[in-house]
Amino acid sequence: MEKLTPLEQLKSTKETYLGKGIPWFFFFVIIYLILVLKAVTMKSLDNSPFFGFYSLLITVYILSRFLLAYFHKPAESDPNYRPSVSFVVPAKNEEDNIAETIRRFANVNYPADKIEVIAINDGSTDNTLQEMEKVAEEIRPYVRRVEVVNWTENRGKRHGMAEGVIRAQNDIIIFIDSDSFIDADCVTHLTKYFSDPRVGAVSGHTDVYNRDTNLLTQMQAIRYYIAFSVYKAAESVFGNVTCCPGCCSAYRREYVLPFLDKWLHQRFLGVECTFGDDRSLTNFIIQDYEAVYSHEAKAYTVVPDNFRKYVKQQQRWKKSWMRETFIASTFMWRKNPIAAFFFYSYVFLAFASPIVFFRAVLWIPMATGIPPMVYFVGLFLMLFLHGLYYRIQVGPRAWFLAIVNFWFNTVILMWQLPWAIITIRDTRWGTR
Amino acid sequence: MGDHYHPRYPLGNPLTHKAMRHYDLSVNKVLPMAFLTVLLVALVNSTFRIQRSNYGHTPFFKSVEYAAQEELDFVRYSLDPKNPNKGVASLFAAVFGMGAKEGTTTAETSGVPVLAYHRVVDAPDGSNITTETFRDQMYALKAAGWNTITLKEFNGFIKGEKDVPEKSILITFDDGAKESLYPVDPIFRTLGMNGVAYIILNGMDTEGSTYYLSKEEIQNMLESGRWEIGSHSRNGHTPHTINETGDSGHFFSDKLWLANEKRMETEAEFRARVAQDLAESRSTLEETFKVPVTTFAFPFGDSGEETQNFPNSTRIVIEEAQKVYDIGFLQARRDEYTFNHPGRGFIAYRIEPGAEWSGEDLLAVLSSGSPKGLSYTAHFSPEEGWIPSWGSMSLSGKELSLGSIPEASSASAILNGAYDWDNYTAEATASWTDGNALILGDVTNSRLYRACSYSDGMVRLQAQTADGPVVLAKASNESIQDGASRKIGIKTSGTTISCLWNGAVVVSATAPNQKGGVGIQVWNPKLGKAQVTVSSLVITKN
Repeated sequence: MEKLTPLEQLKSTKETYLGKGIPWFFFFVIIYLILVLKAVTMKSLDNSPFFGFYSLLITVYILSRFLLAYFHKPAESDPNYRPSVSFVVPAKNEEDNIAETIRRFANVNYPADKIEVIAINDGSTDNTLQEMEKVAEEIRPYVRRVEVVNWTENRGKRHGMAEGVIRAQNDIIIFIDSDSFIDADCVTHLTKYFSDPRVGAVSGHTDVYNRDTNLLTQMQAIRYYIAFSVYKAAESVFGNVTCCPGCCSAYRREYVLPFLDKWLHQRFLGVECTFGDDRSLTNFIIQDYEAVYSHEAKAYTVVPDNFRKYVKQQQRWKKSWMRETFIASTFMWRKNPIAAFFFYSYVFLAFASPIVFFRAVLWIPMATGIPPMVYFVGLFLMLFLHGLYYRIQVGPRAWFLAIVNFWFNTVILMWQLPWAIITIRDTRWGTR
Repeated sequence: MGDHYHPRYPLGNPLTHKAMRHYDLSVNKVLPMAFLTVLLVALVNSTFRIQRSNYGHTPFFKSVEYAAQEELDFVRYSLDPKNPNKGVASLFAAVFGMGAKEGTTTAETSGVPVLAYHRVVDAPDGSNITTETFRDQMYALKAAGWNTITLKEFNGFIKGEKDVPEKSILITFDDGAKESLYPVDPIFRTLGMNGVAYIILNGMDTEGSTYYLSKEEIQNMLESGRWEIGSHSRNGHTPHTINETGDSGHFFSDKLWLANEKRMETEAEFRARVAQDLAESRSTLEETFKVPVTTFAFPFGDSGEETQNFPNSTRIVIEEAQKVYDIGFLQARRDEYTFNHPGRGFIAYRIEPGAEWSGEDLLAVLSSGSPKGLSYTAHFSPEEGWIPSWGSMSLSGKELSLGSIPEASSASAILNGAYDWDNYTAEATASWTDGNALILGDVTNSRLYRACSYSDGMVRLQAQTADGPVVLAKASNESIQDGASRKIGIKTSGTTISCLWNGAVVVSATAPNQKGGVGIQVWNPKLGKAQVTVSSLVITKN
């Protein structure tokens, strides 16, 4: 960053205050409107405790996310603490992105002798292997060790990740998706948390790389940003991040090794688990250790840019969410009581939301002829709140249209959970 | 890529480091958030307090809707170029609390019209007026120089204690419905008008009603200075069971069926019941709002006339109502003057503007009922104010034709706006071929008057009283014959009443002095055959 004169600094500060002050004001106006709306609907829901409870709980849940995220504190970096790291990148048919993904590992502000790169070609049918080998030679002088593993037959992402853990010689494993790109400071900000022995995993902050492609990717950009900087930050307060995602997360190898085999051969309802590898791995970690979120460890990932691919991806995530949430429910009660309360609340809300939707949007309007204005306004206000937060933190980039788009999509996304329950044993959409 | 990517750092041992907290609860984090939380809670809390104090038990969203609608309407009407209370100026006047009333120093009037509305609705519903039509009517009133008076002023006027200027009008709304207030008030605000709401107490007390005004809303109406209230009964506006078979009737005109005791109410019980409602609705309104409640609007505009099982109800209800109130309001009828005058009695009559009346229509109705000065020459236009009490009537602008309907023997019409005429000679040119032609004078209403009745060879001077017709005098006169263009007349002078034939007195009698206007009547014992045409009518002050 170039240096600013004091005058320019003052000017930019002023602009920031003005530029953010107004959206912040509206942010709290929206919260005020939500509270009023909820207080009114709560009164009218006196005779249906279930829906009144839902209404109350979802408000408490969402507002608590922002509140907890506000109190979330990043760890301080200790220059004396620099553990060795191993980047693990399994890839299948990723010839376009894999070189850039790997190249960035050599471009980090971290001691070169503490960096190891393990790339696994998982039976690609394109030039992924060639790209891997080329970029391996390119970065070899700048890291301690590079290894390219070549599987001619596809084994699946989870096998690739496990192979990386086994072959790694360093203390911290950093999983990076083959279509994700890290920032130069990412490693420092991931590893600093491991100075606390309780920490087993750290999630980085991943933003959408192809944000400006279309409205769908813009919408996902908001979703990603909020999911990380608000929801994961809130979970992180209790060291209880439920998913350190595969696109950019660090795990302590020593803690992973004991259950590696169990994780690799995880079965659920008699079927081998071929997706949700990251959520599953995090689940193993948080049973005994902490998982936290580092908002400074930045990475970028490519998201689906058409609706069909997007729905498929979401469906896959919902299925793994189902499975891993079920597993997490068996031990979450032992964790911090506040964290546990919110975890079980969220489970309840996720299952109840299609029922509430059905009642508000179909049942009541059909029985009484009153359009579901309150429901849709409430939904819009909630999404608007998230959109404003994004607008404040990131900037005025097509956020409003994206929120409107999100509003429409909610109807589709909400029904993914029941659909995921029905098709939970169908693994055809397994990743890679 | 250069060497600067690879600074050398000493290796740390992860397990020798201290546990860290992932949250920051320092004062400069907690304090602003605590402040914001308290602020938000206080804001939400006061939002509901304000809603409660302004809209009472009205559902919240409905309150918001009304508040928004009222303010939007107010701005819209203020900027409306058709608004006779000139646009932006009135907006400023209203905002800064300066009354927009012009100092109209015209002569005082002897009669005041009262309008009766119920609700003002968005879309036509077959009975209630739409906002657009109502606004048109109010604009027309304002533009024509009509000014609303308060109920207090009206009361004083009726008691003869207070003069009011010409073109004074009282506007009332029955039922105390939300739609009597919210669409109306912005119009009143921009035009500087005021109104009276007749409250049904059971409606007001209906928790969470979106139809009736709540106490708090009524309180706000009163505080605005634009509204007064009267009673529209507590329990009298809903159907009641009046016999064993379960038919329903009106609270104030029928004896009720006492289901528990399996019998009809007695007269004493009827009287006690209506008396109780009349008194209790007044005292409750007065205690609740700390304002005097001295007027009553009869539910359904029925003070007993529409009775199904108790013909005596009118007398009892009026008796009881008079004990509690100064004025009882009914809707104007075909047999009454439409304006109200001092000394006219307990009942005041209200014009109920039709849902389809334009502003011009309303003005025409008001002008037809406006007090007419003496002397007066009738012009028989449809707007003149001839009230067809019974029979059929047509007005051509040159003459008035009156005929009985097929099953009846007579027809009658009186001239509106002549309530306080006295000491005059009325002469008419009438044509009839059979039966009696009558010219009426001292017309209190179409049931109370004096008349000169002309038939072949005979004139009768008679009085129609509450107990029926009385012949005061009669005379035989060969020259009196039916036919074309006969000159008939009536002269009322102090206690002397005379009948005129061709301008000369043919019979006279004395009777107590009675004020009132003129009318025409025709009678023929052959059913459906009564027919008279009047081509001129001149009333000269004696």
